[in-house]
Amino acid sequence: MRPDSTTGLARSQRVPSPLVLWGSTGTTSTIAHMVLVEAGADFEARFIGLKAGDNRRPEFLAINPKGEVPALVVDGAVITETPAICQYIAETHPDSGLLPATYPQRAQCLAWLAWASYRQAASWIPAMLPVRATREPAAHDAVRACSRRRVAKALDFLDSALADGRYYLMGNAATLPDFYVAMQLRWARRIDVPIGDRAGALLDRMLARPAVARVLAAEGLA
Amino acid sequence: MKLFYSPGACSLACHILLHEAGAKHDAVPVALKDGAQFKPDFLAINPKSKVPALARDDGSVLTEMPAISYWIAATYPQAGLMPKDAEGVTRALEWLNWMSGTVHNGGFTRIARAERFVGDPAHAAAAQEKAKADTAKYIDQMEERMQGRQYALGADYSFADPMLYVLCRWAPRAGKSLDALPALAAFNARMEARPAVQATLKAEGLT
Repeated sequence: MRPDSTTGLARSQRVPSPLVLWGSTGTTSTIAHMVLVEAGADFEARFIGLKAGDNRRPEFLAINPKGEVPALVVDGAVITETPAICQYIAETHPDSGLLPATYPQRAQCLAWLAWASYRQAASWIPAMLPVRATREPAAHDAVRACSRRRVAKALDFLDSALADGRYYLMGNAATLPDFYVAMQLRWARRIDVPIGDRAGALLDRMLARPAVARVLAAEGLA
Repeated sequence: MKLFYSPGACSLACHILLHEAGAKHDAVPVALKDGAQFKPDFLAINPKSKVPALARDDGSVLTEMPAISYWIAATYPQAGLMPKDAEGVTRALEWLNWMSGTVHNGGFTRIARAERFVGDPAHAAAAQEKAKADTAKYIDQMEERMQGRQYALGADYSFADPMLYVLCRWAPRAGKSLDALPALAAFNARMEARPAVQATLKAEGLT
């Protein structure tokens, strides 16, 4: 597992930092990466190549038996699943403001994270990687087409949720799901699914955040 | 408080938690087979057309199984559903997100609605076969992670367990029998011995 040569992130640190993020550039691990930078966390990012199959190698399976990124190593324990990693970072960096203050709002915040996360599995991933839905190459165009329709439907819902003029999903401050949705909006553009004006404005706001810009540059995605 | 559910769906997890918490609630069935989730009455509650949805007493509606589960645990601390530290809460969310995103939506949903994922009915059978194989693999991973554990987090019951139980109930749809999965079978039996689980199964007409 080689660290990705396109980034020079924190790998040169001599003293191992307490948090290690295992990721692959331009995947959902990018969301966890943004949240770590936004929170001002002390961490080291290590990138593996999914196309090269690094995630199926025994060294990585020893870290995450699911063979997926992101995985966050905390004092030797491994946390997986993007929403859980994001929640952990936010709870352990309470000054970051990445979580709303009250429980009902936190649950709402988690509802957005869960929504984004299962839409990612059911719509974005097959739209970008139809082989995950079926191994029959002849069916891949059809998989792409219906997955794109589901992405479009998800984006309609997103735009209607922003209809009251709020700047971010939970109101006027960016919280965890805004980072997830920002990446999904970028991916939607890549697969030619139009995004609504309000969602577009949310994406622009997120892209203007120094932490987001820094991570996109570090992962070679800017 | 009103929980909108469909019998045996992932809303069952939230329904069990309401019983565990002793929370006063009305359970309102939504007839998914008749398309009730797409009708204006339900769209006014959840525009995403999904169960579970929880209409709380302040009039606000909470959606998404992991979020509703978390909220119930946070709101009824005496029920002991919320782990005591950030590590435990994170682990519960890790389980719930994987169960909801990967196992349910990335697995069982593809088995049930293969044609929706491939568009062309001619390709549905192959897609469904792959979905079944992927889901069976996830269930094996559940079995592996439950080795030596009473509940999802280890010794202590938490708001992650009811969804794990729901997935145990669904396992046969992926061609998996609990008979061959001793850790999950023991967990399933432990869950079914809980009065709250029994009361919820009865309330949903599943016994």
